[in-house]
Amino acid sequence: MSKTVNGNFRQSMKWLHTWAGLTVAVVLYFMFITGSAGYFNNEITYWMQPEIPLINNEIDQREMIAIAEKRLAKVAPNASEWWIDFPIGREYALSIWWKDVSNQAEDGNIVEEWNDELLNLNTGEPVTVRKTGGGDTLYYMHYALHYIPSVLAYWITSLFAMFMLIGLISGIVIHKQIFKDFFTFRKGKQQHSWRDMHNVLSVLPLPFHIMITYSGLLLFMFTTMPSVLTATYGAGEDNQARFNDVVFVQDAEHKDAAGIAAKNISFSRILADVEQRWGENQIAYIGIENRGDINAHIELGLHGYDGLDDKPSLTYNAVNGELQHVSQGGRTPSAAKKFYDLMIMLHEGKFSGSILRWLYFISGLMGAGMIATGMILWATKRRERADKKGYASKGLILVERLNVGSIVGLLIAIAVYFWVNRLLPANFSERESWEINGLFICWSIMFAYPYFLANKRTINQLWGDQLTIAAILYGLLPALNFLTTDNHLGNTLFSGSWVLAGFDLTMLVFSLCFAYGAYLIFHKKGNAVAATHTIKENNSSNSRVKSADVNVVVVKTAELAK
Amino acid sequence: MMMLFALFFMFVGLIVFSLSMKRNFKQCYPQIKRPSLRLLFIFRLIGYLSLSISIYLCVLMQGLGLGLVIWFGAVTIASLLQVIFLTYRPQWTISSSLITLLCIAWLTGINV
Repeated sequence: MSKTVNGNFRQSMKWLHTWAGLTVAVVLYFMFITGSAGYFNNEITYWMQPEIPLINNEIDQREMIAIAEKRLAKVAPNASEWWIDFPIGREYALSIWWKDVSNQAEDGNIVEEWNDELLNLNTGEPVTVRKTGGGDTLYYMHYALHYIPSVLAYWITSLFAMFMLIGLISGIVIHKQIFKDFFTFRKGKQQHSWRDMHNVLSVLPLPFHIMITYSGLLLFMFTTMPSVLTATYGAGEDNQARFNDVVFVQDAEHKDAAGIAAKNISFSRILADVEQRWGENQIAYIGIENRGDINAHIELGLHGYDGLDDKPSLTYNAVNGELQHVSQGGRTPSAAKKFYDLMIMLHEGKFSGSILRWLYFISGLMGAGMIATGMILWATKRRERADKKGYASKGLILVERLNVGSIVGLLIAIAVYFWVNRLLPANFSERESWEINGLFICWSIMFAYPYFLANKRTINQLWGDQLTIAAILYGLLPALNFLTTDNHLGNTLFSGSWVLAGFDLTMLVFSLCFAYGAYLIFHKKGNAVAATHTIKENNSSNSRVKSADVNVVVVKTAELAK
Repeated sequence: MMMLFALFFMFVGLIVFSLSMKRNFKQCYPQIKRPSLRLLFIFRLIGYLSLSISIYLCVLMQGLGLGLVIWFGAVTIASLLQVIFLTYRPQWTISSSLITLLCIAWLTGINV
């Protein structure tokens, strides 16, 4: 009795897993791919702004402060705030920011205006960099999508994350032997191989998948579940602000300007104290607020992390140079807040060094691979059945074609994003929006591609075509970089700029994986037959020459490559 | 250096753990038709023990939070490698795992 109930339950979970998964797969795949790229947002931006001078490691922070202060004194003598970001950790340029309050609007109110510049470390002069969406746009898209209002996008992505969680939990329920099949991968067995691969990509990074989905949902809980807040604190902006005050405490109490002019010390005066307490060259950013006022203070943040937590930020009195405050990252003792913070830290992985960052990235790609293999498994299973019956439903043909465009198509589109960055003139006015338009135009073309060529190419060949395109686009990126910038492999490898060199090399590795996949599709024996069949004829049983072995490797390479 | 020990126990743990599964055992040792259940049980025990030691070392070195994050990330990739070895080069699983470990040691230098 209990066994049947259990069986029914598993059956219904299977149904839920299959259909809930299929409906949301494309968007989830997009979120996983762009989110994984987002772990390298600064690095991608660095590559996309080749005007940023290569880092010179021999210059220490004392000199940088001198360079930056000199420049700030020249361009922003009257600014009320000065900030300097150092090229340390994942920052790749010396940049300065300031708040200008000298301009007055027509009604007499002071207009606050933020400005920023990147400085060349060797000359101390500002560098003009091309405008780009960079890696941040890729990162931003994984939760805010694009072309639609962000609040709507938060709702959509949260809904999809909810589906993802349902998919994960129902997946665990229907997976009968998680531990017994932990290492199981049977190659060359059509849908069994796809199922094994789907299982491997789901089960091995399962802690990551659950963490990332659950914390992703939490990130937008204030958007998606506002009534919980309203029930306790009441509606309206004032009550919302009261909640924010309670929960998101700023533990550094910064005084407002008193209106009394005073002479401020320079940044270098406090360096001795900082270095004595926290060591040399440990500053991530430094800034001064209320410049020229008696209540002016200097704030600086230390580079790096203590475990998962930020290093403290320090506040100095800018008149006498005394240490006023050492913050602990604005944390409150509340357990709920701590848990929320922990989840968000885990999701963003900001504490990761380079190796852990790669682990995050690969886990993210495995998540994308899990979704991709799920989509392919759905189609492969039904294709086998259809071939036996000699008839394929419209739905199956639709999904088969969509799979090509969504899985490989997105990867091609991201390559195009990088290509557009290099090919548009550096001073082109709407660069940022056209880079991203390029991505989506390309992705649309890749979606349409299987439909245009439906009569000429089999699904298998369409996979091969798009993998070939991907291989070419990724493979030629380093060459394009060589032709259009000075930051090419020839320079970056020898100057030890591992981030830029790493970008180019990674693109080459991706390209090789795609090329290998395409090679297997086109040249593995048995596939020659496929060339003579079209998708329409594909309904007959023997034209389905999609050898599982080929697919297995193709998708694996594709996933690894992403 | 400690990190290398943690990785060593992780790889050993995964190898032994996979050997405790009948299917994977036969992949590695096709000549042994019927591995005794007691042997598999001992393998499983050593596997769990070894993985526990590697978690413990990670946490000891990096603190509870970061240590667990690193361990889960590393074990994911290590077991993915293990799956690939078992599928494509089953007889070499043990040696290829250990070679991988040596490569990591060489790549990351002594400063791990």
